Amino acid sequence: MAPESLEIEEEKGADVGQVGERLLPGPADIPQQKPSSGLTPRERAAVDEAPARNKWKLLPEFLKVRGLVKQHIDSYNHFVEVEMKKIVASKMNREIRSDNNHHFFLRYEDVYVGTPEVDQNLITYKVTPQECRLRDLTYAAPIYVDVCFTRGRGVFRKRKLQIGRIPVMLQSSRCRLRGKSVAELEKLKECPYDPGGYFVVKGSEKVILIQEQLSKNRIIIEQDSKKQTCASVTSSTHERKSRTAVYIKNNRIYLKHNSISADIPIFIVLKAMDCESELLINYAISGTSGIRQFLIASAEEAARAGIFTRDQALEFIGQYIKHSRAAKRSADDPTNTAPLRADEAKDVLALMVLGHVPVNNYDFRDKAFYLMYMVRQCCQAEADPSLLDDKDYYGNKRLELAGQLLALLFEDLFKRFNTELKLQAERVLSKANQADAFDIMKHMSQNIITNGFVQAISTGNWSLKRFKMERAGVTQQLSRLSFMSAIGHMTRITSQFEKTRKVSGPRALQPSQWGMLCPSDTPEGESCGLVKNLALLTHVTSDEEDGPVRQLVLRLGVEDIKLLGGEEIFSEGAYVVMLNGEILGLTAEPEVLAEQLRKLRRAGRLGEYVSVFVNRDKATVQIATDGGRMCRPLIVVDKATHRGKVRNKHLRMLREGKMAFHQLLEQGLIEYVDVNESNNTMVALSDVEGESAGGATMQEATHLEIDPLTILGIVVGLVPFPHHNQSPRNTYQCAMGKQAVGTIGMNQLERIDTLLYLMCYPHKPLVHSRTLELVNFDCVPAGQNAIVAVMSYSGYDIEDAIIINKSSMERGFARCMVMRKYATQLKTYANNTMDRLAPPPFATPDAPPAAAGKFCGVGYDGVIEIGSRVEKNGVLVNREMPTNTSDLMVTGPGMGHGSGEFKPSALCYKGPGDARVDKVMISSSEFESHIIKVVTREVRMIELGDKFSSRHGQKGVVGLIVPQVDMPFTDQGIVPDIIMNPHGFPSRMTVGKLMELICSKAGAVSGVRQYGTAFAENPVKACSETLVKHGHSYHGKEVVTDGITGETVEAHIFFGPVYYQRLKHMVADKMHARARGPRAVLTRQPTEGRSRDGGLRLGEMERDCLIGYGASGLLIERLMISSDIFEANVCLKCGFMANPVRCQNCRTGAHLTSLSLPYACKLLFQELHSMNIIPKLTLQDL
Amino acid sequence: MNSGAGAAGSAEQQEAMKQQVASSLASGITYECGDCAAKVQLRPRDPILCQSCGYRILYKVRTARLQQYEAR
Repeated sequence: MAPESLEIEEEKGADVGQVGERLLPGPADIPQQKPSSGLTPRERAAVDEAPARNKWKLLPEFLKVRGLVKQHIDSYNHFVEVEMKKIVASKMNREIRSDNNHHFFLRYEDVYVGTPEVDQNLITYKVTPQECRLRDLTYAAPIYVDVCFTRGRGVFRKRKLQIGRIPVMLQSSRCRLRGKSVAELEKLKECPYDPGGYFVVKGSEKVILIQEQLSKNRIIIEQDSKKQTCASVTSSTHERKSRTAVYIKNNRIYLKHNSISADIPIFIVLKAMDCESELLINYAISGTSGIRQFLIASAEEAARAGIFTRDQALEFIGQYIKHSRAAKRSADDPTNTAPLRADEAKDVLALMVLGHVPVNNYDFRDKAFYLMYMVRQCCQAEADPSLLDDKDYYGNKRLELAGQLLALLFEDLFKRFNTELKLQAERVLSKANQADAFDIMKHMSQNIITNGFVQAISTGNWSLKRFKMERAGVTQQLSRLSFMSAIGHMTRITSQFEKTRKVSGPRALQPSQWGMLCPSDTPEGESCGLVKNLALLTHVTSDEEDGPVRQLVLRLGVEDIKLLGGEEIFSEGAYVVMLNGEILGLTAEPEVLAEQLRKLRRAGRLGEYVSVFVNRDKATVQIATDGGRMCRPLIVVDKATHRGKVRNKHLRMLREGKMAFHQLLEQGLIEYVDVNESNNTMVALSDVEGESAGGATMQEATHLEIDPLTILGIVVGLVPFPHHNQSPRNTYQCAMGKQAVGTIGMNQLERIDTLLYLMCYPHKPLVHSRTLELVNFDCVPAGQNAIVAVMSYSGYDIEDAIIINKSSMERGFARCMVMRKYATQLKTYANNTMDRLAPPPFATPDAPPAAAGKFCGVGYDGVIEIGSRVEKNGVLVNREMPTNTSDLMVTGPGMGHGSGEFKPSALCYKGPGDARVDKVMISSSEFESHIIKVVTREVRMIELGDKFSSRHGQKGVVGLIVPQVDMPFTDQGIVPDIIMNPHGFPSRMTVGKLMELICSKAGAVSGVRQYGTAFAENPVKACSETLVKHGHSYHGKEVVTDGITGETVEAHIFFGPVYYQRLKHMVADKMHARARGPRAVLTRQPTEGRSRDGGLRLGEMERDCLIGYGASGLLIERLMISSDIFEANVCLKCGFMANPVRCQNCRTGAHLTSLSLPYACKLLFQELHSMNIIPKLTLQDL
Repeated sequence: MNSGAGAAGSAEQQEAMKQQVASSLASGITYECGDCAAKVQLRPRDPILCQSCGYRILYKVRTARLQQYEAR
């Protein structure tokens, strides 16, 4: 036996799932004797060394270590463990000193975060996320600092001093759920499949969305709004943010910066930066070649302005500094402000202009070089527009995650906390004689930090004064419509681009998104293409220390930029080496350098997320260690053998638990490649002989894809055979999969959400995918395998409507539960009175309490009993409120609760239908001693008009519910659950649905679930053969008899199971009609909206129709009589509206007459009146 | 709780009912701890706390009244 074929045998034996997973115990379930055990060591070695056939098996291993939302969790951990310490240790923050007492100081020595706990009545105890959800608490952990401070004359140290609390991300390193087993999670009432990555703030789950931005500290060459070529950099450091641009106007080059009011000719700026020689500038910008045309004009401009030396240049720039102190000074004392101005200009150039390039001791060399490099790039792009950067290119984008956003917030809050402390210290220390020594410990207010975090996360408003940042909608409530929607929410990316822009650039699918962002999962409509989702394996990097990389690069033979001049830099074949956008030096052998760096990275000597990118067009080597880059893992291809480095043995060791995924990374078999580095790779799909390698041949390939399905996101994983569908259909399904009613999580019945839709009997899909397995969709499904007949029936199935079998419905098909929360609390008021719960009153003297009426089911404690039925307006919690909640005097002798008058303020059930009380929770929150949450449960069957969808973007409403006797049936007596009209297929081209039906059917008859994984092997042929084996048609069609006429239907009907989702849009939630009802107070017109029992509006267009038709009577009836008719009294003499007896204007009632007009019209007149505009009514007889 | 109450009650009966309500409130209504599932007797104004484990989330127990369900 050849080793190659042996290997296949082994794989089959080891993994039945390759063909399908057995549902029923069958012979295949009996563990087979592994053929490998009979191998000779030599054959064994051959098998081990053979290319890995089932590379996808890396996925579960990968996700096991990673989790589904590692990007969020990693980012948060990085913030808590690294970034936070850096912020506290930074020069600006680490010490508080007082201006009027030089002995006083408070120094932070360390900062760390504890585990989540809650403070209640001075008792501190640990909390679980579930307790926080139920009790409206914030899942937050204390921030501790170690401080050194003075009190009186002594210096003291204090450890573990709490300065505030920070919300904890679920599953992060501080979370109590971290590393817990399934059993432990169950004990904590947590869903074991919940991915975490969100916060629980005031009881609601909040996600900090990933924000997409242009990258900071990188030169971007673009055309600005005036069509001028422009090289711009957004510098961002811990201290400040600023934007510097170099642009070409009329063949002259200028520098633009937001702290300089005018645009400065570039030669003046360079001269101010110690580059006084035109020759030097010329060389440094253009080398020996020539982009001189721009330089000559620019140099001339500087000369014409009479600026030749550094001091002259600085003085010149000094005139244009915004918020200049020198200018203020000159107003008082006009003599000789020039030196001051020059100093100020120097400071601005050193700190503000290109702020991310460090200037030590006013040595401008690096910065001048950087600026000249920008000028060169700008000039080159002016000559050759193809050198302009693509703003939508993902290598130029950075993703901002929860950690970064929280770091910004924390820094701001911490600064505020410190200023507050400083103010306190100064206030006390400035007093001449103090009773006690000033103790700063007594002035620590934790509220600034604690409330700052809670406010920001719960409202989503990030407002930071320091950066003038004002962002709304950063957080969103985690959508718990279904499990998939929650997971999909965690991978969502929003971009900061305005939505109104008509240009399609930012919305279009960018080739550089390949493998990083899901091409299908984006909403339709206004935010289409702006809201995106991460692909399955995408990781977002965190900031990494760049110091070691810098040293390493120089030691690898890169010539330091400081030692070089313009001639060398722009000589043929010299590549500029840049680290995070900063120019480091030159190399003549970029490929060698890149290869060395990559080797070091694979050997673990460099961070695994460091990227090296050789840009041939721009002759640069870009090394990046910064955070926010998207990257994904790829298998490294061995240069010698042209095979992937991951072999069978690695898969075997992973399977046997002898190896973990991170070891693959450490051994350099797999590496992370970011968007930029992707440009230097050739990625093949498969290295197995006989399989297509895809675009690249194995000879030229540098990397191997783990599995092609990883280019898609998690939510597309729901679609079986997505590669056979028309692309927009997959997009539609991504939107609908999030609305499917199903399972929220394993703890769904423990949760108390405002509104929860749950399916009563959800199914695992008969056709599933690898992605679904990875997210455990089988355990938290949303949908059922419905037997579908694709045929026309009755005419109630046009326009995508579906026909439902009444008996299926009654047996529980697509039955769902609606759980609704009603919450209230017993408040304590300022005068120490308190709300109370009252037992139900005695309706009539002869009726026992709580027997009937709206108090039906209310217990003696004033709260409804579990299991009782509630009708509309029925009382759930019989709360009573004190009539006087402000006056302290009323309380009187009884004091506090129980005394005084009470008025009812009960919590009532509002829903239109009846429901059962499912659960009543009582507890206390942070502010209220009693909170009461009542959960009502409503069980809903299918109704005419309810929305359904298959997993292929094929949605439809129920058009007719047919008794089973009237339904068509097959020769085996099978009756469909759903009849779907075949017109849904031709234009939609959802071939995947046809394939799903065949595979589901084969799966059902053979008892083996099938895979419909994206880009995987096509199982349809095998499935069709299975069908034939079990006596069905090869094509999945059936001979069907009509249930009404008893005749055999002439055509063969495509018939089989398809996974159908019930969507949350249900008629019961939307049905609305009104004859008479409430009116708005102001206009007296009927209210608007179903929730207010509103009227149905006859709008402008309908009105236009009636006018066009001339139906004036109907118009008056609709718009006035049935709306807001009003009898007004009008004075014929002055045309004012009057009261019924007297015109206030004419001071008589003699000329009054009455008139019907809309109340809104009367209101308008009065409002105009109040604005000194007098509309007069002139009446006439017709 | 009051499933046995008569349909036609006199003033005395009503008084008796009131007594019953008052006494049952005084002895406490039974709740169930969300953590240890112990039964907790709670009177009005009592802090919401499980006496055996200190957990602060309590649930009402299911009603003893006869319930009728529609099984469709």
